[in-house]
Amino acid sequence: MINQMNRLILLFSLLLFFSTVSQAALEIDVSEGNLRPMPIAITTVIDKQNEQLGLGLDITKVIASDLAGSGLFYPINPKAFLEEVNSVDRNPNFNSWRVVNAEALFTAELISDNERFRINYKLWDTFSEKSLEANYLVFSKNKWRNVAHMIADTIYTRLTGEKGYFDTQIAFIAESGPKTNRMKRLAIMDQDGQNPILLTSGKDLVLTPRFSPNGKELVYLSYRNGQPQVYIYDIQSKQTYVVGTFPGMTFAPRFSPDGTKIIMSLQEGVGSNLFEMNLSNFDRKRLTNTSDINTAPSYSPDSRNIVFESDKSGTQQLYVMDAGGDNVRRISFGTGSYSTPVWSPRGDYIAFTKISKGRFMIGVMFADGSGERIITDGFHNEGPTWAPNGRVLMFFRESPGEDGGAMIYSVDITGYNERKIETPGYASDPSWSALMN
Amino acid sequence: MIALNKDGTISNVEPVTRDTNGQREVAINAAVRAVLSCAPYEFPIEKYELWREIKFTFDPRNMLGG
Repeated sequence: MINQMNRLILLFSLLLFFSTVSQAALEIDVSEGNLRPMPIAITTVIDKQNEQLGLGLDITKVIASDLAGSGLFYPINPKAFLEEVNSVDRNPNFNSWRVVNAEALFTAELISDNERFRINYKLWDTFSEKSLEANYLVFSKNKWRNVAHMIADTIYTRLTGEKGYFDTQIAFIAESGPKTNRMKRLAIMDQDGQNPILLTSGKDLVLTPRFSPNGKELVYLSYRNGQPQVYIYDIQSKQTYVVGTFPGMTFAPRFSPDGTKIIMSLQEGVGSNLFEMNLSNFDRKRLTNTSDINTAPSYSPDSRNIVFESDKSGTQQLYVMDAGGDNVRRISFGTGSYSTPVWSPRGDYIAFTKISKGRFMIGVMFADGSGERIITDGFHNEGPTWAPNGRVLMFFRESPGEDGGAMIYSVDITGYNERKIETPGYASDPSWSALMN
Repeated sequence: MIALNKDGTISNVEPVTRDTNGQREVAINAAVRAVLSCAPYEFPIEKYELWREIKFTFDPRNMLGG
């Protein structure tokens, strides 16, 4: 995506003007550029055996939609293609792809055998005329979306150097009904908003679902028995169970990066403290012991530190401590208050909600508190969650007014490419899973 | 490092840094694509000896404002 040739050529002209002829190679530093989506040709997945099923075309559309949705790729309109791809085995005529400005070319074909499908696919660099990826996946028909997302993840990785995030799910709270009596239900969907599934009936108020690292469970807050408590929901068995018996309200839960523990808040008097619960033996460990409101804990990906919010300085601010509860240090110092910190899966950034002058913002800062950057700002933005590659965030945005409600958005950590995720109704509290396969 | 023909087309591209590891390989591929996509280059033919070989150094640090 580095393309700065206009500037480069100007530089060339100057050099040629001032230089005398020499045998040594010219040396040119290219230190600036512009960001633009990379044009990529995604040819329709060939499906000679079952073309009428349309599976090849469906997979192609999902791959193109994932890549376009990342904001880093520009899938070229297939009507512009000059070459028809009939086989993945033959080398393409690279010039005909360069002419339509494609910098990369994706080709694939489907082969079916009874109920099993095999997709052979290739990714080409059309300028250096080399193959960047040649691979295959075997799958049953009901997994076709996952396969499309997995291939899009591979393309993303081969062309950006970052891990992908398309084969993932989002847990969220599906909201319906009037604002004064809104029904809130636990739900999951694919990262692109497809396949939404409601998991709870709506009888009990539920909040803040968080995925387990293996994507099989959710930990969340439910008012099931009157008193708000932290529960775990097993997605496959549809079973729920309460996380320990505590004397007061438990809330703001999250899994540890290895999935063996839950960290959460317990109400104690007018304040709350942080506890860690071991899921194998239900041992609990107190991590803070003050009369402040200590809440919203999130582990660093190496499990060595915990970021949380506390009002111990008078307003809600972000603090980091060792995983055992020692060495508490404040990291947020801007104007306003900070809440809902989430440590990036890469370990570099912490995302947060910031409230200042009546506005709700989503921002990121480095784990030591430096480099604070606001990504979005408005009437009400809240609750960031990280894509597994730590380069994209989702959050929810509430619209004002009686008919207003929450919607989920995704945004690049640079602040570019904000997109609304299509959900069946209002939706809040997103939690992004790890890669599913 | 690129070598140019007299008509400004590229006769050879040779990455000085070689790496088959993740992000560095992707960056090298992107740099090579950028150089190739700009061909043919238009330079004064009488100074061909000056531009027949060019070494580019790509440093994207300034692209996102540091």
